[in-house]
Amino acid sequence: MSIYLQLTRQFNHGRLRAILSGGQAVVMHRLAIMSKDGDWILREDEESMRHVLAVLDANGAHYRFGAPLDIRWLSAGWSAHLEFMGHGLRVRTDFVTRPPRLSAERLDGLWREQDAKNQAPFLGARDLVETKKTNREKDYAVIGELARGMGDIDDQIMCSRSARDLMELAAQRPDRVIALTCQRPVLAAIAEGPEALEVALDAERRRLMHANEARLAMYMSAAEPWARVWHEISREMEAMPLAAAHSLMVDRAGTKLPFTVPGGWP
Amino acid sequence: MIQMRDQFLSEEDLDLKSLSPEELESLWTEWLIQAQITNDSDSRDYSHGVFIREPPWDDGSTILFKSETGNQKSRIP
Repeated sequence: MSIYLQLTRQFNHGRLRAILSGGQAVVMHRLAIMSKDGDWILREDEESMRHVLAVLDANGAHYRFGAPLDIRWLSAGWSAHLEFMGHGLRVRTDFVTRPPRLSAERLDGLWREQDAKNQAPFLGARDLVETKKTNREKDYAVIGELARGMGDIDDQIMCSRSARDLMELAAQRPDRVIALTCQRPVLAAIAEGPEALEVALDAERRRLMHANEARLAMYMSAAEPWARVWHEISREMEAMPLAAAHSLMVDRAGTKLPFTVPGGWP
Repeated sequence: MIQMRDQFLSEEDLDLKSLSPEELESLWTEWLIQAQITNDSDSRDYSHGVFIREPPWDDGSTILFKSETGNQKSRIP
């Protein structure tokens, strides 16, 4: 079994706490294998944090630079990162409780909709598309294919990266394209023809990439004091079991890494 | 007339759909093992979350944002 499915099952033992996201969710959608690292959305409560840390401890994980796996930081959009060596692999585990571009309402829905009996849940296509609107070109290719597989025509119209596909969708359902243009302005370019639409789609992608860059820059800037002391703290944590390392990290981060970042999540 | 279709991923990528669950698991694990070859080069990088690169950030070599269609570099203030 894939290490990332194994970990997801361990994280969800006894209770649903973790939804596989990122590149490994793309694998679960049967689109491509293109990522080495694991990405999870965690339920934002203390028990989930404790359980996930215990699983990671059992796997010999250590912290990478990032926020502690603690809801005071994660609730403001920070991410926590740990890694371990196992099964011949460098396994990186990345966690958020508030992924970018998913509203609080949508997150509540996400947890309600997951089947509590499924121990290896993964992010659905529509939500995965939102999280994939990053500053990386390759993520937009994934969005393009995810959109093609969506059953709901509104979702296809809102997510498609293909001018040709959008022209076809507009021919099938012009009423839906008109209704959704207020939510996705690029749809207005459909009326101008395929070349204009392609230009508009490229511009939309660039805007999304720059928006994510700006978001990351805010967090990186806020993390500068923490970054300056990281190597010293990392050396202190090196020989500690993860539980002790986590306590130290929380204690030190409390004075160097702000809980909230103005303009941060979502 | 041949109808062109925008292509985002390769046919090999999309062929994951034709695999059995066991075949997918096997290919997935094999891919992850092969991908270990880049561990040294990406040791300081992040692929998810709000971080881009491990500190130090003031070593003069950090490229924070590199577009695949060009080299747009920017640093944190």
